[in-house]
Amino acid sequence: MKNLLFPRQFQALGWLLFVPAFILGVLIINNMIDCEGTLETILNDAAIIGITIGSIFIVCSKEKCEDEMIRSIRLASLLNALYVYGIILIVAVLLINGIAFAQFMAINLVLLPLIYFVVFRFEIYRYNKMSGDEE
Amino acid sequence: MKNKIKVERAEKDVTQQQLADAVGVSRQTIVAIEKGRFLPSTPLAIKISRFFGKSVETIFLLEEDD
Repeated sequence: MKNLLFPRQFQALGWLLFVPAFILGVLIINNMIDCEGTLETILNDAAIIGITIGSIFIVCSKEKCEDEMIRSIRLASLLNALYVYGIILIVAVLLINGIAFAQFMAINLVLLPLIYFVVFRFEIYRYNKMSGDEE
Repeated sequence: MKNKIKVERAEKDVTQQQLADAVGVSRQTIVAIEKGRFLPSTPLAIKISRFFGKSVETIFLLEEDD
């Protein structure tokens, strides 16, 4: 089975989408943006789509040296992200109520790609640190 | 699974980077394989073994609990 990955350049594009969308999302969730109607809808959609596509581009683009270990890390990160997402969702459902739960459900729309992005980049950081001295 | 890649490299005076370039992976992958943190695929194991001119079973050793 062939894995389809975006070209490496999409990683930069992913960051360009993700960072502003994430900041926008944080501002919206904390009610720091005062707008209504169509503009509110557009900003909400922009944040969600930007975070989702941005994180997918960052994670699913080829690394500098794309080899089988990177592919293995990518797959393992997805599985771990799924577990973390499940735990967060269950804890949130049990502990959060009312308006706060509605806010959490809004965050939940992008939670899995977000967790996957964090887990994958952390594993890549550990992978890159593994080099040590040349032997 | 243990391996004798480090020993073979020392015998042939080959760096991790040279081995990585020869078999088409990153140096970090060779480091991870040597430390037993990553199990190479069959094609990669064969490539590494062929690089050293030895059989796969000579380089990679199956352990009791594998």
